[in-house]
Order: sequence, then C-alpha cells, then structure tokens
Amino acid sequence: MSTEIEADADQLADWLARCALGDRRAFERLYDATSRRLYGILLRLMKRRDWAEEALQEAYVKIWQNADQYRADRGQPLTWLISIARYRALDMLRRDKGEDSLDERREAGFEEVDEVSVERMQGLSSLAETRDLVRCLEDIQLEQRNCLILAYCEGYSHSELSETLSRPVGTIKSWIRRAGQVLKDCLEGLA
Amino acid sequence: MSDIDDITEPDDSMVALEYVLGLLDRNEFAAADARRRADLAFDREISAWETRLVRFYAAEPAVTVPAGVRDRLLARLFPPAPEEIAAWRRGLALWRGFALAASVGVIALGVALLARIEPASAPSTPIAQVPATLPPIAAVPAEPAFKATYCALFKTDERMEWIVWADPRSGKMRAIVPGSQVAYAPDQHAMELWMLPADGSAPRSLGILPASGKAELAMPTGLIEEAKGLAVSQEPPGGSPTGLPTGPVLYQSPWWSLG
Repeated sequence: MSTEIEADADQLADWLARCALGDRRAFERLYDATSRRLYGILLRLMKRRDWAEEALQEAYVKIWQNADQYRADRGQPLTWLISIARYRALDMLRRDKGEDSLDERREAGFEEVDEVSVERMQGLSSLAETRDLVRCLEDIQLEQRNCLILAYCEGYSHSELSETLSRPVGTIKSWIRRAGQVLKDCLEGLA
Repeated sequence: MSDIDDITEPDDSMVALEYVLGLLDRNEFAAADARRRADLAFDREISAWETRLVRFYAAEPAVTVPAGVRDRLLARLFPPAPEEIAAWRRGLALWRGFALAASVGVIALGVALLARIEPASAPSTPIAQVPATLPPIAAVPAEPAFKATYCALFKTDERMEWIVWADPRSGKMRAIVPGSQVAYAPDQHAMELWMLPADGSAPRSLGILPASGKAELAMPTGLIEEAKGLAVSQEPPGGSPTGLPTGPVLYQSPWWSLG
C-alpha cells in the first residue's frame, strides 16, 4: 500500500475500534478516508458503476457490523477493508449477476488481457514498496502470471479465464496454483 | 475437466489462495469460510494471501464516489430514532392548524395562479371562488402529456411560495414558484417536499422544490390515496442527508382535488 495509507494504519485501526463501540462519527471518518480507494478497486473488479456502488455500500454495512472482528495480527486495517469489499464484489459477480457477468463487464470496459497485465506490472514497478513483489512476479511464467493478475485484480473466475484464454479450466486451475506457489516461495525467501 | 494438469490435492495455502481469489465454488467457499472461523492456522493462511496480494492495488487510483452513496449508506445504517420522528410530527401539527385556517383564500389564490401561470389542467368542476376578472380555466390550453387533477399550495402569510400539481395518470408532478419570485437560496439550503403517509409511517421524500421557476418531480404510486398531507422541510443543500426530514417543517398542505 502507499506510504500515506501505512502511516494512517493506526488511525484506521482506532476508527475501527470505535466503530465496534457504535461510534457513528468514527464510521463516517473511516468512510471518508477509505471509500475512494475501495471504490477504485471495486470499479476495477466490476467495471459497471452501479454494481460498484452497490458493492461499496454493502461492504461498508458489513464493515460497520463486523468492526469488532478486525484483528491487528491478521494484517493492516486497509487490507481488511479491501478484503471485505472484494469478497462482496466477487459474491455479487459470481452469484447475483450470474452467467452474464463477464459479458456485462466486457461491455462496460474490459481491456485486452495482455494490456491489463502489462499495465499492472508497469504500475507496480514504479513504486518502491512493491519492488519485491515485482521481482517475484517476474519469476512466474507469463501466462500463469496473467491468470493470477486477472483473477485478483479483474475478478475473473476459472471459467471466465478458460473462455478468455481458450484453455481448459483444469489448466487454468493448475496455472494459478503454480503462480501462487512461486509467488509465495519467492516472497518468503526475500522476507 | 478431463485435462486437469494438477491431480494432487491442494494444500491449505492453495485453498486459501483460491478463497481469496474468489475461485472456490459456492459449497467450497462455504466450507472454507466455516473452517476459517474454527481453524486459526487456516485463517492465517487466508490473511497471509490477503496481505501478499493486496499490494497489487498499490498503484490503483482512488476514484471519487458519486454523491448520494454516502447519504444512502448513512440513512440505512442510522435511521432517525422514533422520538425524532415524533418531534417532527408535533411540529407539523402546529402548521396544519395554520394551513387549514387559511385554506379557502389559499385555494382561490392557487387556482387563480394555476390559470395564469401553469397550463396544467382543466378541472371538471371549479373548486372555490375564482375571481371573475381572471381568465376562465377552461380557456387555458391543455398539455396532453400532463393533466393535473390535484394540487397542493404552500404559502406564508405574505405570499404563495409553491404550487404543486399532480397528474396520477402520467405519474408526474410539477412544482412552480409563482412569477419571478425566489423561494430560497439554494447554495444555503434546500426545501424538500414530503408525503405524510396516512398510516402514520415515516414521511417519504418527493424531491427538492425549485428555488425559482418550475421543476418536474416523479410521482410515486399511491401518492394521493395513501397521503394524509404534504409538508416542506428546510434541509441542507442537496436534500436531507438521512432520507427523513432533519430540518424545521415550514409549510404544509393537503391535496386539493381539481376534478
């Protein structure tokens, strides 16, 4: 995450703790400080603005209701917030929006698969705090890395990746697991 | 699925990865979610993947959230307490007294303005004493798409602030500020129109009344039959942040039938 957000982690954790006690003002501050980040991520995943707005609202309802479940030893507060928003968005894409989800997202502005991956790598390469991540991603075979990026950042499911990349679902599953294993081993080796 | 390259059972870390990526099917996800709550080691695997992968978003731009999302969210999470609604209704009752006392004169003025300003409707029966010097309502050219059959009048002691016409058939309402008047300063606050349900449930917003000129408002189904009256409250610019009246109630009117 950006330096600015990391510097704010204590503040976010404090607001979350106050939310758990029912402090509405703390919730409003938390929303004001983080909603633009979460909305950007949800738009990336869902493409359609109305879907992203719906997911954002649902995510913050869950954040308010589950604020007492945030555990500092499990990660940064912003990571927790982003995870809640992502799970809500993925649930909507997979279950509520159903079979047409990929077509709808394509219409709303899917970019070419290769462009997505190249842009993501370029963006990460420009930041000091993601240097180790980029280094490890470069260890992953290109097709497998693309799968991981499309799944995480663009919300592709196994079957959507299979259709888009013209590969069997089994191959996609295998690629993602391999990409994950290489990334995990590499990052742990650098830690 | 006959060409699965990877036939070995995935270890916990890979299940956790697929959980974070949203790649588990519904049953697998439910099982992993339940396990996460009971199995600390598995929960840590998931958190570890969340932390590793979230850095993919390090360069993701923040995007301004459309206005209204925050208000809707806060209204949903923090509806006003019942005592706030009760206090609002008490304020309304006071205004109802004033409005009824002035009603006959108000109707005459409203119909006169209707005839002069808004070619909205040709009532089948005149409602009240229309001064003979005004042009007859039937002479006003009708607009086929909008034929008002009800109106509401909002006035102070000095002047008429708004006239609202409703046409249930087209599902539209029109609100006007008579003449070249300016009813309020829109950069300082908004005047919001509310329907007061006859069953005593919470007021329903019908939109922001224009500060000057005219505006068309959508007309919810059942607005006439289910309403015991209408009210106007003063709200922050853009309207009530909670979905219910938050400011003082300044005007009140019943629906007057025009036909």
